[in-house]
Amino acid sequence: MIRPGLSEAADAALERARRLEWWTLGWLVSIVAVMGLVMGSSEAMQAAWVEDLLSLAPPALFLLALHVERRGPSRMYPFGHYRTGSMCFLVAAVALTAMGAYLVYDASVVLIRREHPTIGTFSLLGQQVWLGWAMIAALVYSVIPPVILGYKKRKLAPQIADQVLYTDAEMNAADWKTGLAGMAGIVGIAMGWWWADAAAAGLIGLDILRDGLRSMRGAVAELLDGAPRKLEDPGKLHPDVERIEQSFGKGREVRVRETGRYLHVEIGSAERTRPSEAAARAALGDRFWRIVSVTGPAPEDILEGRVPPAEEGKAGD
Amino acid sequence: MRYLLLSAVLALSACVLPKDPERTTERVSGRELVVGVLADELSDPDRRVIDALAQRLGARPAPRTGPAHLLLALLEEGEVHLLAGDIPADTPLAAKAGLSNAVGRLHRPDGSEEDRVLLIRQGENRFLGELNRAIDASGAGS
Repeated sequence: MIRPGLSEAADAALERARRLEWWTLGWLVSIVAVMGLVMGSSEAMQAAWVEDLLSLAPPALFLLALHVERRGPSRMYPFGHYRTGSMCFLVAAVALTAMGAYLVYDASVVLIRREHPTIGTFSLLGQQVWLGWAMIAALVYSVIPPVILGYKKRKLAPQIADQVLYTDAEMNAADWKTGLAGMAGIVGIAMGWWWADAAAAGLIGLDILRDGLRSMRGAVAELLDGAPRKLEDPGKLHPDVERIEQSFGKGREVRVRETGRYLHVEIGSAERTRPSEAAARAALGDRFWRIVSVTGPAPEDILEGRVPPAEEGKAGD
Repeated sequence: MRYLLLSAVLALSACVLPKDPERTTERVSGRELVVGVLADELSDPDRRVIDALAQRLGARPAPRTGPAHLLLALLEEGEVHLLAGDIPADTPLAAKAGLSNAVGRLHRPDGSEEDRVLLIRQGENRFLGELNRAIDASGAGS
């Protein structure tokens, strides 16, 4: 059964994405557990662990949005729950930004204080083995699943126009970079270069911070009712905007905004949808100024061919 | 063949790495092992570990007494190589030093227990490895 409001292809992609995100949650929980075991007092490992913890947010948010946005309109939510996707996108973007900022801060503190990381040994088969080797092994383990999952998710995201999924795929790519930096850092510590660890973590933190801020830009634009942006570049408008303008336009002004993966189109400029003061006063008296736009059903040429209202209620349940 | 070579390289590096940023192991080997003593007297477990470490590194143990904070400062500068003296694992000095593996348990007057440890200069990971192996050798490890 296709989810309401989706095509067959999009529904299939969404279902694949849903499964991938459950897999991601499972793998991340195991990674967090493994890292927690070998973490020790290494700054690099602690940062990697925090970052893996934060990586749990986007998949959880994706699944939450998917669950909530299905709900139809109600009295309390007459516009439905489409905006859940937008909200989750913002939270995911904030998580990514926080991760980057934390890594940069942490690395700076270690470098400024000239803290030399102490990594001891543990007992393995009667021998004392340097914990750094176990940390590297844990980091290798922590890198592989996110890379594979992130690659798959990145391909799916444009098919269902899902920003949360895309941000999540970005975070998984960040996981890979942090894992590699962590490994380089521990090898650096082994070589006696105490600063290598913090320097590597700091550089990667900057990269992740940059990704996070870019995602936040997109999320904020969406919450401010901005026009739909490109997934990879929130500075540019999505080509779908122009296509809708050309198709629905016909001499009318067309405005498009997005809520999560869905688009909302309004025919008519701000001027053409503002009610007269008299009409507004009739409704709200002195608070007439609060009503800035009144929109109605779509024009006939866009509505034509649609199923009449009486039959609509049966579909999608 | 390639894997054999890789394993050899890895095994070799495991023997040589990690290094000490401040070359503590080098400085101690064949010379003096300066031990800052934080208690009135060194307990048997501590003494056994120090002797085992000195033997491993071919060094002569040289105990030093003094105020705890002075000894900690000297440890941070590398003048003192090791701090010992029934130090509990939850010591506040842990923020400024590295902790060894446990050397038996300490029983406190209030009835609680804590691992006994020795302290080394932060970051001296090769020296720490030698210390932990000495703990194993002295049989005092838990």
